[in-house]
Amino acid sequence: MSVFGAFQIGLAQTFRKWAAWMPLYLANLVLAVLMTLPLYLWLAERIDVRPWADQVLSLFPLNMNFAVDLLGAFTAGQLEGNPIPTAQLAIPVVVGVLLQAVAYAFFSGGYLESLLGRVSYWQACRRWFLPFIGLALLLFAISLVFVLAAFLIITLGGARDRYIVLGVTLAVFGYLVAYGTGEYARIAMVVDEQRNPLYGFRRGIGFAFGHLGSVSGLGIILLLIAVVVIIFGTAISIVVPDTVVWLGIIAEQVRSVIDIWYKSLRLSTQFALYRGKQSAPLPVERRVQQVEPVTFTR
Amino acid sequence: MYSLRRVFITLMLLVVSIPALPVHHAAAASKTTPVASYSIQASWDDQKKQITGTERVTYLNASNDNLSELWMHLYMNGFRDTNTTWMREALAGGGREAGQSIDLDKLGYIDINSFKVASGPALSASPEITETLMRVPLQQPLQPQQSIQLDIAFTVQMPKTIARTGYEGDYVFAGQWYPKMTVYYVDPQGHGKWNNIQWHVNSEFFADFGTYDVSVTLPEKLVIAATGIPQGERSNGDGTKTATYHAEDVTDFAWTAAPDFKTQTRKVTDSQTGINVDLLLYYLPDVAQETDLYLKSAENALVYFSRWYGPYQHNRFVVVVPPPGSPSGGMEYPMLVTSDALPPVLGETLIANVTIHETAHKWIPMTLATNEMTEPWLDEGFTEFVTARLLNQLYGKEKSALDLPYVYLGAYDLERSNYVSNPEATPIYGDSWTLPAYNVRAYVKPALVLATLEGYLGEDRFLKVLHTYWDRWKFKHPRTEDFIAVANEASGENLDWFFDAFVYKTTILDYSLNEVTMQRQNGGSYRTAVTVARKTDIPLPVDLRLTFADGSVKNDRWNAKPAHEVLSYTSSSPAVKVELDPDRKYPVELNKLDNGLTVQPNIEPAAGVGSWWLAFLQSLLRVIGYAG
Repeated sequence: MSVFGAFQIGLAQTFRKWAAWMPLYLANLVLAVLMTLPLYLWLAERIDVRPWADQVLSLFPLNMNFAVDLLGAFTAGQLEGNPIPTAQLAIPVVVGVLLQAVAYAFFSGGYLESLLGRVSYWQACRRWFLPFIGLALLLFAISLVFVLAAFLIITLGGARDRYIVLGVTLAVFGYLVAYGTGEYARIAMVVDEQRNPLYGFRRGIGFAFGHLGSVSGLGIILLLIAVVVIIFGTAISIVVPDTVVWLGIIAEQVRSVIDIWYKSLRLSTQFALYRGKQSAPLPVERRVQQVEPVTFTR
Repeated sequence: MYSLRRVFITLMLLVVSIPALPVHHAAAASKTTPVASYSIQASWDDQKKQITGTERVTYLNASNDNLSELWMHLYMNGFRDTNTTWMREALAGGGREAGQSIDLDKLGYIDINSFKVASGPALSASPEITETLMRVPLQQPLQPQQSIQLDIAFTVQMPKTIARTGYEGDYVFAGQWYPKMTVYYVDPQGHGKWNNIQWHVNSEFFADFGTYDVSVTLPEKLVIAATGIPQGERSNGDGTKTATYHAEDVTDFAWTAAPDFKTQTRKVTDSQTGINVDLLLYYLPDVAQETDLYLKSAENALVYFSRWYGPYQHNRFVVVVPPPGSPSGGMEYPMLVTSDALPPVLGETLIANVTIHETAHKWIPMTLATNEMTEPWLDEGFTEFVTARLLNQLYGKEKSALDLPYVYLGAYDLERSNYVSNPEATPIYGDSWTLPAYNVRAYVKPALVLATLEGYLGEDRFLKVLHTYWDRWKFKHPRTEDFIAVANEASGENLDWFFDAFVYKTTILDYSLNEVTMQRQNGGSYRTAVTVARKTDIPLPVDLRLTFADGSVKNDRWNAKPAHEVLSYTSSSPAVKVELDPDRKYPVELNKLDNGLTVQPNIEPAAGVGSWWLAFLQSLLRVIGYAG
């Protein structure tokens, strides 16, 4: 299976199986809305009746005079013992991130199984939920080891430049190893029907390093797509005026859908590559056309 | 027999050639009695980076006290080694040098080679030098109105430019470079004490007025600019030349030289104030494209500050643009300032800011000679204020500090940005070295306080205060209480409560508009009730404005005597919004965002911000939550 072949198959899958990755978008939206509510209510109470409120929407050009006023209001709040409730706004964010990871563990299993067509979507979600939670914890622990090692290097090296560079490089490498191969780990578990996260991690690392050329080639294609996605998203932000709120909301949701489509593209193409490199043939969904035998009569 | 025709032609030639002769402006009659005058002959060694010089100091005891000793500043000793007061404070991260690197291998100092009394009471012992101070004990006290003449030979080792003075390659700036009398600082009764304060990193300078006659011998290749009126340059035939200057009614003498200085000149006149000034710009090729901006900024400053305070007192003014990044930039001397070579990408207003600020110092402290060491707010605060005021006038209030395609900021809000994050720092009254947050205390908050005072008094009364201050205290040494006395008199109102709150204490000004309710009355009119509050202790009356649906406005003023009050207004059209200090006359107020209320709520802004936060959270959740 060539890299371009895997890409083509995976790309087609993202459009055929759109219903399987939409729940990822919906989970993302619902969680973000719940986390936004405290901020919105706090803000509405304070700015709905302020003559300057429209200025908060006009970001370009940046009015630093207003930014200074915001700083003054912040300081006044601190002095009056009425600061911005940072903890009340931050805690939902932390909780939301954790819930998002849980949602991804749930829905990604369903998406990957939908590419195989072995079991129903929701059955697959339930089947792979706990193993993927285990995999996420394993990957987090491994990346944490790298981060701690980096911290030790920097600290023991007296925070000198070369030790900082070494430490940061190690942390980034650890992140790439843990999470870059994490998707292949997930795919390996589903394809090989192995629920053990350790198996998945070993297979993922083994596949990535065993097919380094193909994995890197696909990675480059996906990176280029990511750049296009980012440019497109940025263009939307620039084109849509800040002051037309409803248009901004729609534009942001279009960006979110595209981002999640991209995530499904990563999974689909990597899935195709993994399957293509395996000895077992790809499970092809065939529509077999029944042909009636022709009887020739004389 | 003389040919009449030949005489006539000769006379005509003389008349025509007169403008071609070097024009030395006749020194105007001295405007003050010189207290500390200097005649200095200095020689600059370009290789060793040293000045060797002799000076005759003529000092008049203008007080009513007998002076048994004299004190002099030797500022260059502040750079002698890392143990001096100045260096210890600088290396600890203080002063404008914070963040700049000091070349510890190229420090500086001043040595006194000989010290004699030319006339007057003899010395009772050799002068004693402690860092940047020299005590000169006298056998007999110097009587009131008696003069003494001192002959001093000295050598200055210039540092690689630190804190306004030094060399960089072939460029040299000599500031505070010669032995200088300290001020015998007297009260209104003529009794006082010496301002014998060690030089600190946050401290600037303080000196008496006098006459300076200075000659500087330097390599011919160097172009020199200096305080004073040039009296001529002569070549010495040995590769050096000697440039001579004369200055009256000044407190200092600085000079600078570089081989590639270019010059441009402009005549600045103003019929309103009568000033007639030769403006000269000395610059290096780096800023050749921006010369018009430097000249224009200095010209505007000369004209407007002459109108606001009083006429600029000399007929020559030099602006020097040093090399980019030079620590000698951004400083004032009599009749000469250094601006900064800033990249034009930062915008015109930033470049104008430095030139205008330094030019403003011609009024304070170069003429209203306040003590920069013990009351820095009196010169830096006033200068910062008038600079911001002029920038607002030239560039508009919204964009007078920064005006770039993607971001803008007004001059008063630039000051506010430094103040609002730390409004309780310290009172602005106090010396320059013992209290923290020097920038806020000396520059920022005083500028905002003066702007607020103008907002309260109104432009006419405020300018009357400035004019009176100028007329009464030019060529003298006013203190804080002197300015307050002038403000009280010229404004026609006792403002002690204002200065007590903002100068001597750390009072914060803050109002809020808490509630607006509106009711339709019988007969179709509307009654609007406005709840206003003063959140701090200073009862400064404040403007209030109601805007109505038909476009009309009602302006009122709340006296702010009670801490809370409900004000009622009746109108034929419903009110749309209410604002306190709508024209932002009180830039020292901390929180401006609670000064206005609309009658009807508008949910769009909160929804808009909420949607941005939603989008951000969605991205964050995807990046972190989907990892793996």
